[in-house]
Amino acid sequence: MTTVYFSICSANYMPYARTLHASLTQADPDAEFILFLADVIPDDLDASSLPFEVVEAMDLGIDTFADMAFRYDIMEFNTAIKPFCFQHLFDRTPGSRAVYLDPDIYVTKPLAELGQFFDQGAELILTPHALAPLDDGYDPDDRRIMQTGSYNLGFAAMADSYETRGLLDWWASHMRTRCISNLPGGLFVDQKFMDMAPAFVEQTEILRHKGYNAAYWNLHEREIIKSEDGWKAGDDPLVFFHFSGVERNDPEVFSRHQNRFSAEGAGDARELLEIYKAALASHDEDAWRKVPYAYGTHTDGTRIVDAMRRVYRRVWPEPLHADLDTIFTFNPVLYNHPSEELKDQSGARITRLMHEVWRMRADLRAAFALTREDGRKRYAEWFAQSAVAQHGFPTELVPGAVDAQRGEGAPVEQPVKTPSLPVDGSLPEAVRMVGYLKTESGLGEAARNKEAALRAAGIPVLRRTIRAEGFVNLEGEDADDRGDARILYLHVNADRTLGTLEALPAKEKDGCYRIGYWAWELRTFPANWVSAADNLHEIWVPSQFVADAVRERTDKPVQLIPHPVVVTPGNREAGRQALGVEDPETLVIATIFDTRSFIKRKNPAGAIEAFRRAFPDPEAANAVLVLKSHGPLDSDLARQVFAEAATMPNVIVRHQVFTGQDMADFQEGIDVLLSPHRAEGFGLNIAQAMARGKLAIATGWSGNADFMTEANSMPLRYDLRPLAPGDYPFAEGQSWAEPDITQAAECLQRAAADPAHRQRLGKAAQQTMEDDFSIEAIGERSRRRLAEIFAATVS
Amino acid sequence: MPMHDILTTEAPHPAGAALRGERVLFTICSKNYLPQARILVRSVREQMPDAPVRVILSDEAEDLGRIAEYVGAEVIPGRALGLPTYYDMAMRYDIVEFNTALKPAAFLHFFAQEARTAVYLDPDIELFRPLTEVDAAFEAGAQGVITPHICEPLDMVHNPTELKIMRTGIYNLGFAGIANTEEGVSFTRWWARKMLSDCRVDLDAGIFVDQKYVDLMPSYLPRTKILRHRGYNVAYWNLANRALTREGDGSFAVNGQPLVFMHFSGVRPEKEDIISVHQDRVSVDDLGDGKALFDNYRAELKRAREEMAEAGIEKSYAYGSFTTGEAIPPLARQVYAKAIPPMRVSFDDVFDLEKGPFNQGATGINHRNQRLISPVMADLWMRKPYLQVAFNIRDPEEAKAYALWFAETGFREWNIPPAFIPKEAWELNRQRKTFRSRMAVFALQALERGKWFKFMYPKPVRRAAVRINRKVLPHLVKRIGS
Repeated sequence: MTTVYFSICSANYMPYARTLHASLTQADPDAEFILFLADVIPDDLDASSLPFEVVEAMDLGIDTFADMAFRYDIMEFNTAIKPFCFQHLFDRTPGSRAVYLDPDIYVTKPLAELGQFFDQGAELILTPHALAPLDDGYDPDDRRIMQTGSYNLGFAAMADSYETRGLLDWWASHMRTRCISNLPGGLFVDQKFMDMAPAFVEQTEILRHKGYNAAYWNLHEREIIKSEDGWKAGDDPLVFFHFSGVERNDPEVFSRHQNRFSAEGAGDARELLEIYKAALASHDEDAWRKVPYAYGTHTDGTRIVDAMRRVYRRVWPEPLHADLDTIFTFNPVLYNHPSEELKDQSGARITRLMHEVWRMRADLRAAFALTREDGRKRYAEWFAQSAVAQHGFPTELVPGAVDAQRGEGAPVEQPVKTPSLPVDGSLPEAVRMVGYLKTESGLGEAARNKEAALRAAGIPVLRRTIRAEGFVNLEGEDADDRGDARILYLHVNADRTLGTLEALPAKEKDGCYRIGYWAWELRTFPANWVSAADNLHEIWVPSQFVADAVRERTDKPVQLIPHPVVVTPGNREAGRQALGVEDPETLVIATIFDTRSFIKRKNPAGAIEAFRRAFPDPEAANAVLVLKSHGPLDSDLARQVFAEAATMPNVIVRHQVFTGQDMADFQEGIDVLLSPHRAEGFGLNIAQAMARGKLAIATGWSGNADFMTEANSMPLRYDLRPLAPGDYPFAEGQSWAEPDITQAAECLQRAAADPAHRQRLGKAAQQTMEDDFSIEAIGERSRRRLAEIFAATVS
Repeated sequence: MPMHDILTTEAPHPAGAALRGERVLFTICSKNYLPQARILVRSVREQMPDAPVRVILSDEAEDLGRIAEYVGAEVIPGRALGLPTYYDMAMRYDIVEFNTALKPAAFLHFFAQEARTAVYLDPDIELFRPLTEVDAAFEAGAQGVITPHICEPLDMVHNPTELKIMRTGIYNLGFAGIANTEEGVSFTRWWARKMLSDCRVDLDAGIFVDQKYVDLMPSYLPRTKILRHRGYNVAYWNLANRALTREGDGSFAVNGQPLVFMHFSGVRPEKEDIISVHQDRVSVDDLGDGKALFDNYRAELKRAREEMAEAGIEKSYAYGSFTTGEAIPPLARQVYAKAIPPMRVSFDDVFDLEKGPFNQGATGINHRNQRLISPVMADLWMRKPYLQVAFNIRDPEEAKAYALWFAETGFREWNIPPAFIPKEAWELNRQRKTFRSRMAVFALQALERGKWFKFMYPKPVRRAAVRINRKVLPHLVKRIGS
């Protein structure tokens, strides 16, 4: 029985296909391999020199081929032709078997089991993404698999039969127009449709051999091990690994589509990854990746940008039967026609392309209401200004484009002029404090505390209040202080610095020495915030962690001045009563988070897990865990955390806002603050608990590492893990800490078993806070630095 | 100690090994579906006389004995399943979601009683033959048995489309069998945990009650049997490709295979000209011999309803109203699901309006007038931009104005039952005795009464009235506080 292995790629992926072919034929020298090229063979490539047959997609005989090549982007198109390739192979050799492998697959062993299943009658063989639930809070999770498809279509094996022919006909008919990624609409390229396959083909084998299609989505249930008798995946020998999302030039990243594993955390799979990357490099991946896509341009060379394909899809929901020349001829009218779905076009004409771009971008949808005349006008202006630069559209498609230059898709860099900021030494030695001084929020409180600290150190402070959108402003209309000050202290974050400066009158900022107070929760400071530093002389930060992040990005002086830690007296009994804890001996452990301020960062799931491990029978241990939280429940993770909490004994949930005294009582009522966070800019909750003499158990990384030591608390060991896009703002390429939950559990047990030790640490914590973080201490620290500035700038 | 918790612990089941080694068949329904359950149980008794049958009642009832007698099987109240957040789920979910959400917990309940296998059947199923193929699959080592909605493609034109089936679940969860094995239990626990807060209809998020999760059963549960026997689970979604024919002996066949069970989803006794309210593909004329099955089921259902009335069993859904008798509007459930995390609560904690979360101040508001804004009021405010423009409820004074506006006029515009407005808000207009405030409240009330006559006015006037309510009144109300 003939079995043909095949893959599909465009020319830029040729090194992947060659690596796949080389690994396959090394494992199984008799394997027959065909490459279907979703592209045109480049002029400078002699296809006959390749060690395998290459079939151009246009030779597959798809009647609406040109339509598909135009309708889909490169990724969609590559997947859309898959059923047609199967059909082509079965037509060529009726009754044969065909095995599809994604080009980013690396074979380590012959795919011998397939033959056995086929011989037993299987007609279709698919591999599930995972054989065990993905519900540990990382991406991808169960729901993502449910949205994108149960089976990974990087692999599929079929025997030519009546039922598989029926399946292929059905699959192919959908691939003509519905091979797109639209998760809310229930579509995900070719893959989601194959959820149906076991319903349509009786002889479907759902292959559970762990050596097949091992990849980032199933490493949690199958460890890759290098053993004497070769590579293993779990208990099975590894047959092929699927390096989806490989980043050849970043040694830290295992796959860019996920955040469960770093290269380092992937175990022996890392070594395999290195072997794979070396193989790619040996096939000259650097050069090939730049080879242009034949279906990426019109016949006249005009680029086809993604939004343009979407316009085409919207105008032609059904496939067009036309040849390549017709469909790929650049036709500006297609895009410049006024959008049919916007009836009212008065004020400014909104073309189909403009409307499509607006639909694609949430920021534009929020900024411009196209149902209103002024919204349309302003959007048209924006489009004329920015569309060429930001999207790389040809100027013919941008009405009133300001610049005839053709962008390449990348935003045009504007040369930035660093403003010179002279300081007027004749101004009086005082500080003008700009911040949310009257806002009832964490940021407002921090600003007020900082003001108090400066005043306590005897520094004259002039207040300048700014109002925060969406927050309560405290009553009492103390007017802002007039008068001059030599130092302008901006207690607003980097992203708000420029806006705040703009809003200030010239006399309050010109000639001043400008200090910004910046906070940030990850190791690398967002690059597009840094330009704000050009308008400042110096930057103050609350922790060494933030200092390192900011220093990496700017040459301006960075000064470490922590938040003053201020606590108001609370009533322990009242706090415990509000939690329903009656026994004064009960150990109350609290973890505090806001679902908006990134539940992943605060890691309450880690706190629950630590509590579970520490006290298998919490009733007997006389311990409770309190989840103190607020914010919306619109994330899966938030709901999952609370569902978990609800199923556990002795876990108390307080999902509500505590104000003033309630919060003080609550903080006083607890015994241990548990914070297995992944990152903190400073860690004010932890610091406040310590200032009250509570035991803090927290990840020993990031902002709180400045004040937590073995002598005053229990810092936790950790590993660093990469973040996935979407984990956090500006997460790309960043890492954060994964605390050791076993150690957290041990710390909790110790806290329960040894109250004396707990109190000793609490006392020491209180001392640390009093010595180094009180209003006075911070005031003195600030004063010293301000005195230096005054001395240096006097005229 | 909290009650026995079926999701996490291995604690001995209160009913012990009552089903040791048995294959148990069960259904789940609220009181309104008891007639369907009666027909199902009767058909099971006929076809499989020795099989233990159970009915899980997702409802409250005074006299379980009478219900058991009516339905013809042992009845287990939902609250006895050992779900830690049972009443929370009863409020979080509407009746359909709630009934499906109990399914995995029910499986675990029977596993704790040491049933060898458990098979779920929707109450609107009628059995015509024993489930021989299911037993055979279990015998052969299957740990799960599920049936696909369709075994042949449909189209993308009629309802339900192929895409709709892909979005709601490949397999129909009106039927499922799971074996009480280590892997069977562990899969069911995973499924049951999803039910605590994510058993809703949210197609955009890829969620459809309990059913969509089972797309993953063939992945997560080894030896899942995908049963494609055309006589199983015959229903509107597959009738286009399944021909029902009457055989010589009076029994029915489907595409040549014997009919095992029909699933009369969406069948309404009073609507004789349609097959199901959920579809538009197959007409009664297409049914051929099968028409008799539908006619017969509708007649049986009518009779069963009458018998239920005769037995003196009332059908109202206990989790459909508050303890005061006030119906729970869908909006209240939505607000609850959005604002309240899953929690262990008692019936009164959620269904007593006084004690429950609906009269508490909304979370996320952080000032002294928080008590005036109920979660429902906050939710409306979040969803209506014009309200956000009119009132900044994060400011205590404006929150008070919003509460006053809401209690005087706003709640009618959105049909919010008065029970969802805090008492303090009702009291507001009596608090301030200044002349100006009394004038403002008077004006509000006058305008409100004027609305009764709005049908008399032409459209432009009515539109102007809406504008006044949305733009002018808020400012009027805000002046009261100033």
